[in-house]
Amino acid sequence: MNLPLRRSSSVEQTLTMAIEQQPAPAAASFEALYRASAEAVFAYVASLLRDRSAAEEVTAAAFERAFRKRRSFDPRRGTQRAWLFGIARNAALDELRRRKRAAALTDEPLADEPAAESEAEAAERRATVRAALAGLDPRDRELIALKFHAGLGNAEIGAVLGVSANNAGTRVHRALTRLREACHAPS
Amino acid sequence: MRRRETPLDPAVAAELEALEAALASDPAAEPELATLVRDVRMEAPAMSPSFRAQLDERVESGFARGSSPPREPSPRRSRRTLLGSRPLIPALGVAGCVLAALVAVLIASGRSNDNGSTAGGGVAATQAAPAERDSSGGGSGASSGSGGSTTDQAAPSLKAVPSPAAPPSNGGRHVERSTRLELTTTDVQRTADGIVRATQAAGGYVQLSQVRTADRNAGATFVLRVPTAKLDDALASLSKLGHVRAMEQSANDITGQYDSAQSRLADARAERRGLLRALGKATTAQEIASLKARIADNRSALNRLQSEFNAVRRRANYATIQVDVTGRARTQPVTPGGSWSPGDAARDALRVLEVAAGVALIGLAVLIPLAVLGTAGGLAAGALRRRRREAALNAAAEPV
Repeated sequence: MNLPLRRSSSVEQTLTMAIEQQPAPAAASFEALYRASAEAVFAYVASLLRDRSAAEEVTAAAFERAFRKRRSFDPRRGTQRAWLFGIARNAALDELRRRKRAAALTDEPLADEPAAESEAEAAERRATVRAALAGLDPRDRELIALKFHAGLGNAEIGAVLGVSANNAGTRVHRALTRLREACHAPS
Repeated sequence: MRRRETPLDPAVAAELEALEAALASDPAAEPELATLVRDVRMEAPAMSPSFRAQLDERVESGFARGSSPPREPSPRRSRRTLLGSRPLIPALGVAGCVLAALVAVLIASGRSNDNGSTAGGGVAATQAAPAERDSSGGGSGASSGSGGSTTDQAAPSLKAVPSPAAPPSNGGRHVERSTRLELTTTDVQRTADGIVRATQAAGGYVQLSQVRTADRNAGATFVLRVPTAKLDDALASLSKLGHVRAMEQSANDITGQYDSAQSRLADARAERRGLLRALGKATTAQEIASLKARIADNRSALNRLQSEFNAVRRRANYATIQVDVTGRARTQPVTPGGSWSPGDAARDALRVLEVAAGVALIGLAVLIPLAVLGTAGGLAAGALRRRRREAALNAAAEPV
C-alpha cells in the first residue's frame, strides 16, 4: 500500500492520514476474506480431494490456519486471496499425502445432483462437463478450479502454485484446452 | 535470483483474454466459452448448509479452542503432535545454536583460563620457589612478586613482608641468597645509574653490567653483590627505580659447605703448625728437607682451602641480585609503585574488548556454519515438503 506522503497541516489531517494508512483490523479483514472466499475455497479443495467430507475438514483447517497466521500475511507477496488459496492448497495436498485415497475416491459424486432441468440438452451438456472435469488430470482440475470457481487472476494463480503469472496463464490455457477437448470427445 | 519471464504466446494471450471475458460474463464473450464457464461453475462443489453454519460459527468465535469438531486421530497426526509442531523446529534449532555458542564460550573461557594459568605459571614457580627453599633454608614468610598487573603490588610489599631467605638469626646457619628482579622503565640509562648508586649505598658492588641504550631493545642487565644483611634495603631501593614486572628470590642453605671448608682450613692450619714445630726440632738434613717439602705442599693446600672458604663465606655474606631492565615506550607511562593508573585502566579495558571480540569471533565461527547448515536444512526440508505435496497431487492422478 503506497499512499502518497504529504506534509500534514493540522492535527485533524494527521489523524485522517493515520487512519487511512492503518490496515483494517485483522479480525474484520479476515472475516471479510472468509465471507468472500469460503465457497470458492471449498470448491477448490473439493476439486483437489474429490471427497466432500475431507474437503470440509481441510477447508475448515485451512481457514483456521489462515486465521492463526493472518498477521504473517505480506501484501508484497500477493493478494490475500492468493495467500488463502496457497494455504488451502498446502492443506489439501497434505491431506492427499496423508490419506492416499484421492484416486480411490475419484468416482465419488461431489456436486449435488443436478436440479431437474426442463432442457434435456442442458442436462446432457452438464453431465458431459462433469465427466470431462472428472477425467482431467488433477493439476488441470486444480487450475480450472482456481480459475473458474475461485476466479483468481493469472498472477494470483501463479502465487498459489509458486510459478510466474505467464506460466500460470499458459497452464490455465492448457487446462482449458484439455477441458474443451474432453467435452468434445465422443463418449 | 528471479528468472526471466518468457512472454505469453499471442494466441494463448488472446484465448486467455476471451476466457477472462467469459468469466466476467461479458456479453461480447465467445458464446461457447461462456456456456462452458457457466456449466463448470454450476459443477462447482458447494458447501452443505450445515457445514457452512458450523464454519461460520467457528470463524465468528475466532476458532476458539473447543469449537472445532472432533477429529479422528490419525497415526500421522499423533506423531506430529509427539514430535511437536513445525514452529518448534526453528526453536529447537535456535536452542541448539545457543547451546553450541555457550559451549564455545565456555571452551574459549577455559582456554583463556588455561593461558592465564600458563602465564601465571612463572609467577607460581616464582612464588613456590621461596616456599621450597623455606623448608630447606629455614626462612619464613611469603614473598610477593609476579608478572603482569599483580607485580605492581610487589614493590610496596617488599618492606612490609620479611624476605623468605633472611639469614638465620642464630644457630650458626649460613644461607646463600639470590634474587632476580625484572624492571621496566622508560629511561634505561637513568635506571642503570640508580642501580649502581643503590648497590653502592648498600655496601655492595656491581659484578656484571650490560646496558643497551638503543631506541629499540633498550635494556640493561646487572649482577650485583650486596651484603646479605642489606639485601632487603637494596631490593627496596631497586624496586623504586622502575615498574617491577617480576621478582624471584631463592635461598640455599650452605651451612654444610661452610663448615666443611672451615674445618678443612683449620685442619690445614693445624698441620702447618705441627710441621713447623717438627721442623724446629729436626736435626738431620734429610729430615729438614722432607719437612720443608711437606710444608710447601701444606702451604699450597692452605691457600686453596683458604680460597674455597673465602668463596663459601662470600656466598653466605653477599647476596646476588640479578636485575633485568627492559626499556618501554614513553607513551605508556606506568606509575612506579604499582598503583592502578588510568593507563592501566585503558589497557585493561582494551584487554576486555580483545577478549570480548575473541569470544564473539569464536561464537560466530560456531554460529555461522550452524546457521548455514540450518538454512540449507530448512531450504531442503521446504523443497522436500513441496516435492512431496506435488507428488501427492501426481499420485492422485494415477488410476487405482
